[in-house]
Amino acid sequence: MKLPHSIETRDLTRIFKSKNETVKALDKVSLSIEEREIFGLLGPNGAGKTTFIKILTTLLLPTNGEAYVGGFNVIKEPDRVRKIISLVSGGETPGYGILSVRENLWFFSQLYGLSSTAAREKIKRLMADLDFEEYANTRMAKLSTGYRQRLNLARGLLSGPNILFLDEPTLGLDVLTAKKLRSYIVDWAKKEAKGTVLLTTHYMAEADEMCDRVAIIDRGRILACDSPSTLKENLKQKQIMRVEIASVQADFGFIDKMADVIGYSQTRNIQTGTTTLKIMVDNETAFAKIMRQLEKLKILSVSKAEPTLEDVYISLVGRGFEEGEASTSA
Amino acid sequence: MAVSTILRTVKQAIWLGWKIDTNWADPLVFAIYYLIRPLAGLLIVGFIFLIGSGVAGTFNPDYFAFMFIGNSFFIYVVQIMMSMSILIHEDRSHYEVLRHIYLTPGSLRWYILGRALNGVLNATVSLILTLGFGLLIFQVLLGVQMSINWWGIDFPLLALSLFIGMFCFLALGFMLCGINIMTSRVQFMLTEYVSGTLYLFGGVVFLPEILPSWGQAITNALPITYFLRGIRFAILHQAGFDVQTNLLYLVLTTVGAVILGLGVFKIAEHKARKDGLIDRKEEY
Repeated sequence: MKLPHSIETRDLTRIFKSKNETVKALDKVSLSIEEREIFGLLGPNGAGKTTFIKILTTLLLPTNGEAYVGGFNVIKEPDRVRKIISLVSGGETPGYGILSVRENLWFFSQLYGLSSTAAREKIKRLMADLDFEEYANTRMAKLSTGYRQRLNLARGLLSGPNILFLDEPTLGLDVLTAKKLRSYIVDWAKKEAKGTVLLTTHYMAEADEMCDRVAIIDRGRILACDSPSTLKENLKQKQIMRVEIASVQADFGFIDKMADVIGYSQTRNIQTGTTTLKIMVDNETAFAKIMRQLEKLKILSVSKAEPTLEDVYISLVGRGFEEGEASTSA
Repeated sequence: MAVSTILRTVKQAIWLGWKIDTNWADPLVFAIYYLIRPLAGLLIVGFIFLIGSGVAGTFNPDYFAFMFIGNSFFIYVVQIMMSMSILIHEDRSHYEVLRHIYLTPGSLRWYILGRALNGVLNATVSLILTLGFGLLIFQVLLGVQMSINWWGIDFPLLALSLFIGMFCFLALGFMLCGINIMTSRVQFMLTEYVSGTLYLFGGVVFLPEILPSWGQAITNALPITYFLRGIRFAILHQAGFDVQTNLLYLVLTTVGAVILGLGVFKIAEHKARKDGLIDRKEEY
């Protein structure tokens, strides 16, 4: 059955069972992603992002529900899905370490069925566009993390996919390389006639910068789905304060128990010996009560913050990403 | 899938297999290893036979030729099974590219076939070198009599037996690939179990008739039995051998092996998708 959406899922559920535990990695996820859309799936580690991508790229079967990619059923028509997709993950090995960059790209171009002429042209163009031509004859094993990821993205784009799945594509990259890859992906999606991108990330700024729409996922469930600006706009009525404290050991558990507190996140910096709290409250009275408690500690700064996607997550879950990662096992 | 994509995939997989096989050493060291590995196996069995014959005081040139041919052609089993068994773990855990190959339209099966064909080419070169150096050592240097008429080889029968035999070994290789997709770290053990069973019951270095009746029943069910019988007849021309019946059994047992091998692989592929095993992380 053909569907108008580039990607569509209906009640997609995946349960992992082991001897000791059962984990619901995806819980009835229903999403629709349009052609030419850059769609972000935002959530902490263990939220179910990679499981979602694995099912859509035919690497994993769902326990329940349906999923369509390019109108093809991922369960029943995996071969047709594979012809129109590509998957690029962060921190993965992009090819054979014993082969050179050019040899790796050539190898995959042939598996994608490209003619020799088309493959040569495309490899040359991708290496130039992603700025790693000088490493064409370098063994993949000798590349730095940044250049490996450029090679990985080039491999992913070789086949000219309609739908590009990016699973944490800038994981572990330096700021400049991450920026270059992000802008290249956005340009690619604009240029391609059917260039749809599904991006998973736990970098808020990345999702904010790149995505037309974002879905926030936590413990396998979609909590919100809209454009980044709309999601942030909904928080305009809330008070968001940033407090920097000279301690990395203090317990802030009391914040959660106070009235009118929507949620908070904490980022501990061991090197500077500081903790940055981001606290979201319904009104200023609630914040004043929190500050009275915090006065027992050494407060370095207090400022009002503009809403970010992390605040959207905090408003939905009541905690930040780091706390989410610590308490999620999926 | 387009035929051109299949051919490109197979060709690249053969090339990649060669690169991986030859990558670890200098060309000269690799060439020596290429020759010594199969030749050592033949020399061990050959010298055991010669010493045993010396102790017993009798030497049977027909039996020496039987052993010589069987052991030399067994290299196909070892090479194909080893290359196919290892590649899943190598690509999944060491190179970490199995999932990208799995997601290409070229298909994992054609890729595996290409890697296996690299094993076939390696085995053919090893076989030629082993036969050449084996003859040089045993026949020329040691003066061992072998009832082999090298000018009277029935090449069409030899080629036909090899052709059908390859289907069988490739099918068993796919079975090993399937088992390896579902398991972790059993690749070497598994290859040794399967090739050891074929070596023991397949009539490689001794006549199956000396096995107990249950052992002979296993022998009769194995395609390698008919493969080696066909090869030996093409080279040795033993009297009273029914070529057509042997070919029929070779085809039938090979069909059985293909159904078994591809069946196990198909089940493994489904289980891999069900349990997320294609990109499972494990220590290499």
